[in-house]
Amino acid sequence: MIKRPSILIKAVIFLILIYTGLKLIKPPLPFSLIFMFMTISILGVLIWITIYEETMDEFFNPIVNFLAGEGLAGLKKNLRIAILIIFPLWVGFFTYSKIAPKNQPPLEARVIHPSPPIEYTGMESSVDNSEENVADGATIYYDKCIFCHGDQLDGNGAEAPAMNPPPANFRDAGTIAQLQESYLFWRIQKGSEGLPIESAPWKSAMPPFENVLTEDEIWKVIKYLYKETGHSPRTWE
Amino acid sequence: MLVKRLRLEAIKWRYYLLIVFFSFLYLLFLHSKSFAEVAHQIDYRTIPFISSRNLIWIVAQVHLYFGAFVLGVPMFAVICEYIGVRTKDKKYDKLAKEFTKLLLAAFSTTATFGAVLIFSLIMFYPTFMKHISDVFYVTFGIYVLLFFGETITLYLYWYGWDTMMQRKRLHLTLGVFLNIFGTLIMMVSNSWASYMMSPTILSAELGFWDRTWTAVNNFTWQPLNIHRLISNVVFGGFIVGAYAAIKFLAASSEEEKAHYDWMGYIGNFIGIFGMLPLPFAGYWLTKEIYAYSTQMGITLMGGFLAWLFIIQAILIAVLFIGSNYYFWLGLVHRIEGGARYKRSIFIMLISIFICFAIWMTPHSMVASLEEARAMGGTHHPLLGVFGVMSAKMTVVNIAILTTFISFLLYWRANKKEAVSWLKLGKGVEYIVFAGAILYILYLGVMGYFVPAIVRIEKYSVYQVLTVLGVLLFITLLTILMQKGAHIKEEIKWGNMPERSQYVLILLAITIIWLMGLMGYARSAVRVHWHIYGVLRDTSPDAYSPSLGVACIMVSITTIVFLAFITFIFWLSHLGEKKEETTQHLVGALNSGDEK
Repeated sequence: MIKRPSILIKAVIFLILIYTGLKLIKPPLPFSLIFMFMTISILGVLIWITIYEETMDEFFNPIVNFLAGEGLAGLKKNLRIAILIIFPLWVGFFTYSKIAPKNQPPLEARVIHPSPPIEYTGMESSVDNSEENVADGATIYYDKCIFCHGDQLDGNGAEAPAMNPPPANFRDAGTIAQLQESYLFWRIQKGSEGLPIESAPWKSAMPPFENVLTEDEIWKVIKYLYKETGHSPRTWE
Repeated sequence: MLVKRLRLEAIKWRYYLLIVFFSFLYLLFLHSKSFAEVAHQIDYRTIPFISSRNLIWIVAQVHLYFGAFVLGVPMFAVICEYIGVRTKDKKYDKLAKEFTKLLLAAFSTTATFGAVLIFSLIMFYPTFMKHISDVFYVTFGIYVLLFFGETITLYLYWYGWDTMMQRKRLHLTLGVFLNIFGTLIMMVSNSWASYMMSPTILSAELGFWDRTWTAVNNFTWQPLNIHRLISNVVFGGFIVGAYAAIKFLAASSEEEKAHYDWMGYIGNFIGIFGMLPLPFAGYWLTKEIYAYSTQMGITLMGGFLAWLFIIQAILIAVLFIGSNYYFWLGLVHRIEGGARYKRSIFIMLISIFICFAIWMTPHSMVASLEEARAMGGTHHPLLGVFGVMSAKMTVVNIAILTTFISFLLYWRANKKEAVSWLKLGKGVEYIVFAGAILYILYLGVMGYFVPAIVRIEKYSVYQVLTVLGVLLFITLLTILMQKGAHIKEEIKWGNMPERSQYVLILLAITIIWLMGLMGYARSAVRVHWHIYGVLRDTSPDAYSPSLGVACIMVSITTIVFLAFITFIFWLSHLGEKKEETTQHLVGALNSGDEK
């Protein structure tokens, strides 16, 4: 008869499965997210185990016995000594590897949406949604924007691979669908030069178009972006 | 003895009231021409080592913590007392009295911090205070009157507890008035804070009262009132829970243990059930902020404060997970045969953890250069979808329903229902829960395909209404199903493992920290304005502190508050000991006399 695995073994297998599953996701998840999901999973396991006294004993007794129990001999004793030496060293190495200076830029919690200046908030479009305006907007887009934002409006233009972060993907539900038209107007007109000082330095290669396009032309491009992607701008009414 | 204590209390209170009264007088003088001229010459003053802003930050935040406690606790003290009157169960009355004892102990410190805050503001921000007093001086007067009202009702409520034992209706009425005064005080001070965020246009044509009312009734006043009212209850509940936990851990008898276990349970219950509508109130407040100023809304949710909401998400997850864990421990340890709920607890645990894994997933990931390159930007194409509001609203609603199921199981665990339609009732419950969760998921998914305004104005509201509807319907159904139910076994109060008490302490620390951090968000959203768009901050402190600095400052305020509240509770405990000793001595003397 096969012996039922202890809850300690089950927990370890469960955590390994979660970790493997997270590592299999493509494109790979950043370490910060894997760390967060693993912390949640370990917490979940610990909560489950500590609800019942029996499972708690089943889980912790082997660990306590192994680390501090009496009468351990042979391989088990050597293993205990090895772990007691290796574990603190590993913690030390892990800490060192996290804080030691590296030839890499530090991790960043990037701020995605800068706040527009007050004069831009609530600004009304000077052109309507007519087919003519949308068609004009498409022409301007293909003339000025396509190189970075792409012919599919997905941020995958010919010059996009040279940029980090890449140009905005307008088809993503998290970009222009979350913003008001006036916000887009500000970003197109002022580009990266008009970004506010808070959360600087900003990482944006967006050029300002205020000396290239008229206000009406900018509004027409905005009309085209929403029409072509099928998104609606954020409104408050 | 009582008379002596009353006298001492009265002297102490006269002192506090005098401080408030003179603060008010000083503000009136400030309003006069000569004082105004002096105030104009100096816009800011500062103090060495700790800037004036940091000082105000600490004092205001600690005052707010105490304020939240003294406004939250009377609400459930009165409810507890009412339940005691209705059920004629004396333990509710004892609990209500214990709540009020904590309230009385914290009340004077709240007033002291309030006085320190007002003096500090006058000292360090004279121009700002002049502007505020120009607009709000009428409300200062109202505030003082309300404060008198609250103090008097609190005195009568506490010291009249035993005297009015036979006149409970009168005593309860006093409790209700205590709450009314407290809530009105909060609303008055909220008008100042909300005006700083969303000032209204005060044109010269407006009359005296219209002008004041326009300033008070600004865009974020009502949502802030609702949000703070609910969070005060949550705050009070968790702090009481922690108090009970410490008393439980230090208990020397089984009765004492049972009493404080029960008190801790009530504290946690109040805290977590107050939490259920809190996300909706917060959602309304944020919606109003966006509607008032898109710039402010983006600064808060998409700009430099956006990462704060990931920290908030983690803290809210700690509160929900901790509370559920406490419920499950209670289910297993206090109820005979609680092991039968293993499967249900497992399903709820998985549900809660999946919900909070999604709840905490940011839209834009913290990533190294290589990781960002591999993902094609800081948005992950697969998991990035969990970062937007549609996903967040969906999972938080499901987590709330799961928490409610935890409570339902606990509620019914030791009872045997006797109604003939029990099977049908349970079937309806299953269908309602399954239907609600499916509907919330459907709205969440559809939220990605509709304009933002549809999601905000309709789908999110439908999700909230669904949850509230389920909460109401299932509660009523359960009450009907419990009619004539007999108790299988008594709940074994006091039979809880010690780790459950540390959870209660953790919950209290988390809520203090969370409240402080969100206070920073509400204040920092004004960026370089004292009063948004009206009065600019021109001091050397006119910059927004980073999240790291904010976390340190909030941690300091948390420690200061915890130190004060621990000291105050210890003092009240000393009083209790003294009373016990006196009673013991009197008893011994009486028995000696009899001999």
